[in-house]
Amino acid sequence: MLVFKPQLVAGPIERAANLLPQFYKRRKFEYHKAVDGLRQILWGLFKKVVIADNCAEYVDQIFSNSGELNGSSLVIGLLFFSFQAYGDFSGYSDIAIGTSRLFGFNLMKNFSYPFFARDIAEFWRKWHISLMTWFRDYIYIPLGGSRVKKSRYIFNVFIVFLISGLWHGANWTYVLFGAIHGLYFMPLLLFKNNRANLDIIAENRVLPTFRELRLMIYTFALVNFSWILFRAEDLSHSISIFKKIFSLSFFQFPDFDGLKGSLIIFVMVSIFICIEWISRKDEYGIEKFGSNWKKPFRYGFYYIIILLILLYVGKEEQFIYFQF
Amino acid sequence: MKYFLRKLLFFIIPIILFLLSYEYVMHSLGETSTIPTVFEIQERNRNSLFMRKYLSQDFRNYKLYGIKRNKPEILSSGSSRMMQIRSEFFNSTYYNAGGLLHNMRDLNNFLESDIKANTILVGIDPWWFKYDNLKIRDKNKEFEFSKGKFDLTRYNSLIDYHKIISDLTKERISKNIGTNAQLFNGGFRLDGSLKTPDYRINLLLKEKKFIDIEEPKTSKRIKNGLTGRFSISKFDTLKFENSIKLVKSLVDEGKNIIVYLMPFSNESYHTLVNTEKQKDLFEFATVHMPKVLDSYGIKYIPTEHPSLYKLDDTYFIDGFHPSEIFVAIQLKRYASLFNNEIDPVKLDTLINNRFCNLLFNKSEMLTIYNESD
Repeated sequence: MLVFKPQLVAGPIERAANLLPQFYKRRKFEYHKAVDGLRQILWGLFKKVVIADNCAEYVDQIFSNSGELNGSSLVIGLLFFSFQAYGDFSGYSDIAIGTSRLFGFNLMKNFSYPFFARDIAEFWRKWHISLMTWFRDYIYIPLGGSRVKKSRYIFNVFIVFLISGLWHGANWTYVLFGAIHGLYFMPLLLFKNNRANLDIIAENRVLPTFRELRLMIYTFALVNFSWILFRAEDLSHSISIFKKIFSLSFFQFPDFDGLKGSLIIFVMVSIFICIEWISRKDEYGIEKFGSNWKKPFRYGFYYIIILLILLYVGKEEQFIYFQF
Repeated sequence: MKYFLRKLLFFIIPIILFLLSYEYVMHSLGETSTIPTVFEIQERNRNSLFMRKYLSQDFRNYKLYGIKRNKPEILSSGSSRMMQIRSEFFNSTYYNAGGLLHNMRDLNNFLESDIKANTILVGIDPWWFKYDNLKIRDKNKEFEFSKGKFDLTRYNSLIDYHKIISDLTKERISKNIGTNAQLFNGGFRLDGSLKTPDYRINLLLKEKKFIDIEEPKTSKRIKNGLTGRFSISKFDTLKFENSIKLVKSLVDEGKNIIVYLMPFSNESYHTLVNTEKQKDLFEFATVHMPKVLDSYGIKYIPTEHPSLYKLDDTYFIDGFHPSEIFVAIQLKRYASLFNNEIDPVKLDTLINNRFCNLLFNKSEMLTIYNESD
């Protein structure tokens, strides 16, 4: 029996073809790999402990009182949930990949800055990559993939999304979550635009163009909208949230108790997004971030991250994906 | 590998030094004392109080260890509203495990645990049986003391390091354990009861009127249905009856169990009566709960308020936490429920010799407001 601790069933979902040969290969300690592994663990912990767990506090507060709160508060709750889900799962993936790297193993990348996606197809190429490629190889391609009649092709894509929804749990909300993403995908498929954005956004530029920014916001909004189904307790809870968001109360000032306290989290999330944007070509957020800084500044940056982790550690939030 | 470890050590040393300085400051404030150590100190100095400010109270373990160590013949438990009952009220050994029960599951787990005490006073809050309260996640199920382990959450307080340093430089009461106890002379006594901090007592002595220090005020919470206690939610009467069945089974085993339906301040009580949307809460506490207890033949102290004893709200710490004097007055009235374990004459002495409406023993106060002001 072989036990490989760093990687769990939640992901990255590693393939035997990639992982097993590494067990047989003689490994020797590599300084740069070890440092890189530690850095990725640090970034993963930051995403999980500082971003995800802090957002979770407000998400729980807002969604458990969704009946009493106005539409704008629920939208804030959804935004927080986006960063909770991303920080949580990609944070865990970074910890798993980093730990493996420390021991000389290479696991596949699982997230590639999904919130900078310009369409839904690109989003799913960047979100939980190991699961989506598994679905591609073991469901989509055996069903015939794209080398079939157009109607069958659409069916194949839709089935993959439905099953990916169902993978998260035997609940109608997850099935609908998958279905909505399947529907989001259809226009891209029909107009053959699903592979339009394969490059890195704003490559060789500091800022995105207005068009890119618009597409990013549009995609982010679509994904956020679908998170309602993901986070709500059941279908009727989802419907009540939908109704609230699309009511006039959306235009009111947010009325949840922790609004003032959440501002610090907004600031941290904003800094986090900026770092991720700067590093969007790299394997993870701080792979090369600050690498050309003088040592005291670089170390200072890492110390600040460690301090933030210590300040927020222990909020007892389970990794979201552990339940799936 | 050696180069890597050397670099790692070089990177980690400043962090370790910083954390060591923090540990030293925390130790100086008495925040890091383990629970058995707290009890040893309190046994050596019976006036010593325990209340941390920055590190976790590890409250649950503190109380569970107190039960285990004191082996009381009389045990009381409930929410924080039960914390004012003191060993001086009883003739037998007593421990106050108030604050351990926060919902119905806690109550049931407590009743199903192996309680050695012969007499048990259980404080029950009506809101534990609201539907929205029943959804509470099942945490800390076991009623067994567990040795604390090193927990990284202790560093969450680093955000307040400047305040911690400033507290370190303030005048502190060295016999007490933990920052709050040292600064404010408030905290848990050896018998598990809670001493109200000096500044709260001084405030009452100065203002000579009831000031609800809860924020928002308890009456506002009742009126607006704020917080789980007063949210507008229905009650699950069947669940209450199931808990009472557990009480009954203990009674059948020969335990003397008294259910304490917690009192309200006059203001809170009358707000409850006059708030139409809180009718369910009021009826549940004053009609339904006594009815079920009567039907099972369980002894109980009903939901009361100070005006029943011709007293004002200065006998309440806030809208729903009674003072030790008020609890003493109630226990005197219901002394017959406790098989000779309460001496009404002794209770009377304590009540009449009170220092102020919140506290009967003046010697427990270290900073006393000048009454001539």
